[in-house]
Amino acid sequence: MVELPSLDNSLVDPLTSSFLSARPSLITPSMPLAPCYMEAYDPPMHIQLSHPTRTVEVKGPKKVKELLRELDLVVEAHLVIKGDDLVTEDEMLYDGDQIEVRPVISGG
Amino acid sequence: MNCTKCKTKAVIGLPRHNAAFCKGCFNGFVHDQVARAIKSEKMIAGEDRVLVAVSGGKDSLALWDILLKLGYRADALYVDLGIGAYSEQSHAKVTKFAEAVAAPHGAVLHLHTVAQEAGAGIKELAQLIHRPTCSTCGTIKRYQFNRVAIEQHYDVMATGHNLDDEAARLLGNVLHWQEEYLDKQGPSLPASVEGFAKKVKPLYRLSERELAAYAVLNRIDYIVEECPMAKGAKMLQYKEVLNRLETESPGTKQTFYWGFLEKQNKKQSTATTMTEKDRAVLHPCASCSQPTTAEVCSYCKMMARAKTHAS
Repeated sequence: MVELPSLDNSLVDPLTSSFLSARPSLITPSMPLAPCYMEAYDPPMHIQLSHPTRTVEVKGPKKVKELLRELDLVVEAHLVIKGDDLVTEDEMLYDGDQIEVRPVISGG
Repeated sequence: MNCTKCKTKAVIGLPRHNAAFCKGCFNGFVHDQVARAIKSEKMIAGEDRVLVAVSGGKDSLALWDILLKLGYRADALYVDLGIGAYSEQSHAKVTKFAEAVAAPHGAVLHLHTVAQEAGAGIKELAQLIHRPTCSTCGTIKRYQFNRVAIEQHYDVMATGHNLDDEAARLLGNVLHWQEEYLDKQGPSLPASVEGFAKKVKPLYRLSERELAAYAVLNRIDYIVEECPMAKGAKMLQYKEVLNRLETESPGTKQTFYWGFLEKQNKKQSTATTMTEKDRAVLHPCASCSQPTTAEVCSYCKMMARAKTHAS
């Protein structure tokens, strides 16, 4: 008869009796995450808009031109700034990115 | 997307030119477009003293920046309209640019405060004389820029009007068949009579988006919010329509405005015609001596009405 290895109780959640390795939020940061968990738990993109000033959250990844289309904004009337950098319409944006969509129209 | 010129990573795509540029090549493109505008329309001679009309927005600050970098002797005038926090922020941004960027080139910033002369900010003044705020603002700015240019002996007055501004204005004039305004839609207006400064628009080859990109890339801190008095303005609606067309069909705005300019240029010596027309109808205002078609100019009439209503 083959002897099974004993279970380490410190890896079991006392409330749910499930293994901690199945709960990404309790895993130490140094442990690599499977891609499906990253997608499920990373914060979305934070999009700063003007006129009026407001912030919206959008799920990534997404190309700049897709983001503008989703927000119903015209490319010719906006710039997209990622962090401090201007980005082109084909640039890919990811969850967690700080994005500013800046209108270019001014005056009256 | 890679830069059309140097093949490094691009920061902006320009569909109307079927091109994309990195920061360095884009700055070169912008400076080149302004240099071409100045040369082709004979806007500024090498030794000319230029007065730039600055508002704290991207276009006028970018214009001041570009003219200084191209080596022109360019000072600026800011008119404080007294629109609460908006004017305070605009003024602060202009002052910051003047100190950090313009002063090292030896350039000077002039200031005119509407409330000091009129006794009230632009909004209150417009209410007092029963005129729309934007029209009151336009009269005051045109008058003050011309006054300072003439009094301080500047050769040329430059404004930050861009391709979008001119295309939107042309659309408005065409929609309402205001043909009498079309003559004055060129990017270079001569000093037709004594008391009028030459007026130029060196940014007419660049779109609003390109100028905003220039400001962002060169860390020019400008006021992003639009003027609270301009909300719902017709010109903004025309711009929106043109931008939807431009996105679907790149090059629409330049074809529209530049095409108009080509047709105007084909008419024989428009500048001479305009000068002749101006000389036939303009004479010095009885109150301030600036050129006007009436006995007293619209600015002096406005100030007189404001003083009557205030007392």
